[in-house]
Amino acid sequence: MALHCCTNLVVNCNAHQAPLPSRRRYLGKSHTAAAPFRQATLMLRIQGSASQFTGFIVLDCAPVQAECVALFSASATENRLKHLDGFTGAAFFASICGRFVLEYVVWKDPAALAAARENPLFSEHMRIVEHHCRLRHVSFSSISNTVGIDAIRFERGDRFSMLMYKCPAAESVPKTLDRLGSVSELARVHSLLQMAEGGSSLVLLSREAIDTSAAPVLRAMFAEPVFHNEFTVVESIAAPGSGEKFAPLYNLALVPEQSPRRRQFNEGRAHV
Amino acid sequence: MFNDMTLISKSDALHTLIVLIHGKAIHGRGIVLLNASETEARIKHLDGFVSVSFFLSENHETIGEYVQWRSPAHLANAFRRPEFFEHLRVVEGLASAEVGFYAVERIIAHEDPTIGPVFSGIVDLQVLKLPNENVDAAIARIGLWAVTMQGRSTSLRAVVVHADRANSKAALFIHHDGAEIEPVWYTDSKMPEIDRGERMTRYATVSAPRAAERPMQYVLTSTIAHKAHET
Repeated sequence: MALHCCTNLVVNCNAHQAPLPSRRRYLGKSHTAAAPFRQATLMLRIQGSASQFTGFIVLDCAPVQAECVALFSASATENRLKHLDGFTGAAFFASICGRFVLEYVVWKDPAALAAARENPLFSEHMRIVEHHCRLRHVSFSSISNTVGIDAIRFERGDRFSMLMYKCPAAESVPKTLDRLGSVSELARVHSLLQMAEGGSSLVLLSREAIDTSAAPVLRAMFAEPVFHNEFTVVESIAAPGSGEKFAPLYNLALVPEQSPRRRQFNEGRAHV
Repeated sequence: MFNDMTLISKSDALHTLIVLIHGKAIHGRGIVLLNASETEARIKHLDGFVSVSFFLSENHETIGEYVQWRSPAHLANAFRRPEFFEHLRVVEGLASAEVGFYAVERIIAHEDPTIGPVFSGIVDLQVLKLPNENVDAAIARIGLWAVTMQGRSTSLRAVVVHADRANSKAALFIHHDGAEIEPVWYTDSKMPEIDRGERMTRYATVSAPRAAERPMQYVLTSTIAHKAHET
């Protein structure tokens, strides 16, 4: 449909049905539906207890720095780390308070992660993150499971609640998992749990806050959580699709005067 | 980042850049993440930075950046800083970019648009080459068109008319509310050509830092040959 609003002025309301004049050099492809940023294939989805090796990492950053560090890690993962063999997915969160970063990473198996750690790409990015944050918690384990019918999707802006417990030494891992499976509230809030291989700690990540019915049960099993916070998904990265493999695009390094040895050297000089 | 927002206003007289980056779909997400991360971690701390809002086309082949600096001098100073240009070497190797420098000429909307957490819908970005001999008349016609369109449309939230008078260019930021809206491109028989139109959704906005924020410090070095994507 073309409307003549005034002389020499043409409005094209429907680019599909009425092509614009040939003098147009280029118009991008039109889309008939909404253009959601997310494509399902790019978003991490976790369901069941697949034989994967998962990690939860909590970083303690400077105030209001969490989103920045989470985005930096997500960018490095999208452009570099996800192309390492065995990478399965990762989600990066920032706490609502702005101080903590939570990284949930999934590797094919411990050997894949061990091989990745030998790659300089891995340490380059980690060195910068560690320079700006303090490691608060890290747990890697093959014991990981979702609770609930649906897959857990990590979409930008989604909110999650994270609880971390130290487990009683006497309890066996299967027994603890059985008892957790009987807590119906965990299924309702779409939870993801990870237990350390030796059963020493438990991480619970749920879409909604654990309410009053489940909280006393968990407290009876594990005592008070050693860490608890609310997080927002900053970004999630799935494994690369077929044909998506490419070489890393850039290298990262601390600026020379920031390296610990240089700082020690400079501090030493200051005292001379 | 999630709470960041920016206002588009004529009265602020900001130096506005509209950047359109074109590359392979496979790199689109990586580029937008890299640019957003670099802006959040380092660039936003440079003197005179106001905001960048990132947009991405559905097919991930085009990234749009709506950039605001206090003045051209602030941008020129920032451009000399490694934390500003290091990542550009990476992007240059993957994609081509069109950069336009504009002033906000006119806003056709019920109120000045805010790009931030509640910003939804679709943005059509359109760049036009104006006739050299009568830029003012061309811009006036665009304004008239936008007023007419807003009166007719229930989904058109705002049209921001930007002008680069030195280079006889205009850029339209056309914000539609709602999901399934057909593009509304401006055409004008008196104009020699329309350079480009792109339909995108917002990815994130990064605005100037709060007092407590500090930049991350690192060096980023490109490992890809310039224009490697074309080989």
